[in-house]
Amino acid sequence: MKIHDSLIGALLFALGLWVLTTALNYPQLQGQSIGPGTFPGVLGALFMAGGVALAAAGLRAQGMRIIHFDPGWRHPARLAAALIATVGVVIFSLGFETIGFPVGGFVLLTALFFFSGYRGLTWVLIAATFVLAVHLLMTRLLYVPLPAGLLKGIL
Amino acid sequence: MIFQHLAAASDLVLTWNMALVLLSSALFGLFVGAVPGLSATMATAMLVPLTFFMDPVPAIASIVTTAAMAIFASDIPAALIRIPGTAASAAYVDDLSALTRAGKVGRALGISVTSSAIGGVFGSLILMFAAPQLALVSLNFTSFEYFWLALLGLSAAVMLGSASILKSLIALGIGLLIACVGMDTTSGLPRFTFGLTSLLDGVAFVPALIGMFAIPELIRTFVHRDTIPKAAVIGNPFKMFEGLGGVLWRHKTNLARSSTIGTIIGILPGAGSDIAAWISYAVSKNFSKTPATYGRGSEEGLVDACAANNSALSGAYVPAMVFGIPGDSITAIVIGVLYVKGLNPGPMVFLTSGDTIVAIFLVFLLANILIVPLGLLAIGLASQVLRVPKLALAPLILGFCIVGSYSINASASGVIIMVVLGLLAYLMEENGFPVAPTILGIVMGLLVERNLITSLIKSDGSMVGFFERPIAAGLALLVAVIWIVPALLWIGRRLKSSRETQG
Repeated sequence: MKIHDSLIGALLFALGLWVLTTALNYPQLQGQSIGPGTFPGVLGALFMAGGVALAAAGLRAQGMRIIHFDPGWRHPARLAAALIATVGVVIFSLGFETIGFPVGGFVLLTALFFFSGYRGLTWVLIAATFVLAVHLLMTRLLYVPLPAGLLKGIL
Repeated sequence: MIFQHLAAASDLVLTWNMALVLLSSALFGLFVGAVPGLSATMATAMLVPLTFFMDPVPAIASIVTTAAMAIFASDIPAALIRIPGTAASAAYVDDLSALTRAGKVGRALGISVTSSAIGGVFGSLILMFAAPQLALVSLNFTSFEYFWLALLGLSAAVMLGSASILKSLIALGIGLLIACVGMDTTSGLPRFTFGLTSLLDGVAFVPALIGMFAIPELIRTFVHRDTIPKAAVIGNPFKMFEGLGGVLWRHKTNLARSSTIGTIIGILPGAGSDIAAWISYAVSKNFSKTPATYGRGSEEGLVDACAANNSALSGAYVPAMVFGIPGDSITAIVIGVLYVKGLNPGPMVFLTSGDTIVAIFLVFLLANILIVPLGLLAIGLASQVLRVPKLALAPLILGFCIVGSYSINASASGVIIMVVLGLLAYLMEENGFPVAPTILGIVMGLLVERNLITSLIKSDGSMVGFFERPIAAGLALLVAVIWIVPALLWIGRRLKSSRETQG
């Protein structure tokens, strides 16, 4: 996904402005002219300057749409796989403790295999074996408290 | 210092446990390096959660071995399917590919494996003998010197990369801003936390790393799945040493020169093995009697670039160990692991943990020597590995990433950080913003800010103090040179082109 430099520049300018105003509101160290806002304040100002420079360069170089999606994004299955790998993982994380890694991970992996074109029992079994093996390795061998969630009491 | 701790260090390294760690890490590194698109940095980041359960020396050994093997193994897909496994292989991918097309794939990979090992051993020896000496000098460093040194590293990362300087600078700023999130170390004030308690400790480094390297690659794999080409056939890998001695002997000067260049570039904070490979390749072409063959199957160019990228990998550990400043993304990860293990990098670590440091140096030597036998094995197995479609591996890699990001703090916030920063990295890469400066910014942000604020407090807000001490002034001059020279060159080019247009 490509975004026009002028739009990125404008977004950076807005980010810089927000960082700078937030940093200016931080208190200074006692008896000093500096404080916790000094460093982020400098960064905010740099973002604003960088945003202007990038937007200007973007406006000079014409001939590109504001936002351009590569052809791959137009395939529903590919879009679904990319969304599951990002948005799906975030949703899964919000209920990580309740759902647990074995069930959540299995659903996630099976869906990803499905939308990647790997369908059938073999891939369901691969997902189940992988999730169970990783869960047991992490919890029993490395003592990482991966939540069992829905399978609590079974695993 | 080395000889004083050698016996105790050998006891730490020569154990069955270490042999198992080295072997399994080597196989993991070879596997990841051989799969196109999975980088050495990503392999290292995925390994970090496991290192938390190891002693310091095996933990560092696993990372060093994985990285060394992955960087060599990335030449395999470069030769077979013309896709460099890591950025370090990109400099000579055309030569590897041309030699493969000419039926010399064994020779090409033979040169790669032996030159990588020679360069790696050279860099390791320099690390062993230069780092302790440098540590003695750096004991006199104050916050002023550390501030300039950190700025030097960040400047090198921006100026030496291949992306636009403006975009590299913005990428660095993003990293530094991410490092500002959390409780301010001087005042204890929460900054940019949006009221979330999980952000009070800052953005967790390991989930950030995993996300920024793995998620963009996974998105590309899912979305652009039809652009992955099929692999060529290797043939008998055991024939790859035929005539190799002659090639290496003919190019012995190149080997020495590139190993030296690679080590020096590696030592420079912020510049890693990819930059070393590109510069050595360019220098080699400049001095070559047959520059026209470069990019068309030059064995000479291959010798130079392969030796440089592995020597840079060892060289990058010099600033990491001595100053706690990463030479590249991989050493940035290692610094994080060293902190977790209580081995705070810096000059004092050479005095307080001499045995462990020398043991780590020995591991470097071992890892680079192991490249030859294990590399041979990897080349033999590569055809099989490359048959596994990357698309089928992608969901499993995501599974590892989720577990790795969760394990750091046993908190799902790590997984969310991984995805959010992964999406940011994807958008950055798609739009020409390099990710490496952002990573360096995240790692070094705290160091830069802490030393800036401490120095400003010491000098009562005056900037004069930053230039008063001789080493600080020298480092400030170096930073200025890094910024001014390219600017002057750019102005010169603009003037020349405007004169040509007018003429």
